[in-house]
Amino acid sequence: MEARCSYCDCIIQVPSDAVEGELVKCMDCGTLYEVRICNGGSVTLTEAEEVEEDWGE
Amino acid sequence: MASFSVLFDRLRWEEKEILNSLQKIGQKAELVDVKSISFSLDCREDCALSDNVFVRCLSHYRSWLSAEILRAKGKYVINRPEVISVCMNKLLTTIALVKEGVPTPKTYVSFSTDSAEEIKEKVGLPLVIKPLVGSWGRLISLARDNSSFKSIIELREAINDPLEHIYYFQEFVRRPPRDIRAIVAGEEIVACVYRYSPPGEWKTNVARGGFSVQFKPSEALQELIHRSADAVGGGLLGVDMMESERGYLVHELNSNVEFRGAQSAVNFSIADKIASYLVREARK
Repeated sequence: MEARCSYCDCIIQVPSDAVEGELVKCMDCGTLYEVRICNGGSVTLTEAEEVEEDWGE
Repeated sequence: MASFSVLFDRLRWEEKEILNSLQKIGQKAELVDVKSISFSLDCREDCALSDNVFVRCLSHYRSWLSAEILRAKGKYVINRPEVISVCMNKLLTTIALVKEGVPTPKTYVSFSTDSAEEIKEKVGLPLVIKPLVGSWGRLISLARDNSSFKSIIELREAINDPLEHIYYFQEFVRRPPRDIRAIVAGEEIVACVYRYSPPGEWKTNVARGGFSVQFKPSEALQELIHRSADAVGGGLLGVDMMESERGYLVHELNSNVEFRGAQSAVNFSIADKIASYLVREARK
């Protein structure tokens, strides 16, 4: 599966076994995305959140 | 068979491992991104999640408040919201530990820069300054002298977050270049490892490049681990301890424990043991 980086338009390879919420990275510009799986199995990417102050174990 | 929703906001290796372990033993389990759902608070019947919800959000506030909502909706929630709310806040964790007589580093709190200065004058330096909420060693600073103390306080004042203006100080514990992480699931100590600091770093967090080595805890240490977990309400927890001249000191409990580092040090699956615990605890 492939998707495009919304910043640099580079093609991002999404593993075929990726699950909802899995992180993928644009290898050109480094932007981090979360995988969204739509009805019918197609894949979209949404930009991952920045680390927040309250994140942790 | 029980059914589980594993609630996350950023999917980590741990959540995927736990999902696989649950499915491997025949449980119905799904991953649910908390960002993709919403809740109505005025009825109990509108929640599509499974009967048992394992809350694993990276955001402490998301974990705590989603656990509150889901329990109000009749779900069986692990960890319980009370446990999350104590573990996510270092000040409340210290209060809980001290109340139960668990040895912990000497801790001081002030609510202004002036009283922070008074603590420094009274206790002396070095002092470790920690944010009340946060993890992975972020924003934890070591004030070795007056100049670094002043800079740290000024930086904290500049952060636009009222919680950062509450100063939580701990003594700098002279310890070996390692601390101890125990992973507890109810009554079972699943794994116990030493975590070594990476070169040039005084913090031992695996997120900062530390590494882990398994060891068998003594009976006294096991008893301390159980007492610490009980002090915050029990559940699936990470208990972090240090070796000091005064013996073991418990400095942190994690209600959203990561175990990739510990997994690299043991020859069994920690996720399998967590899955077994979830099944034992679950509402069938």
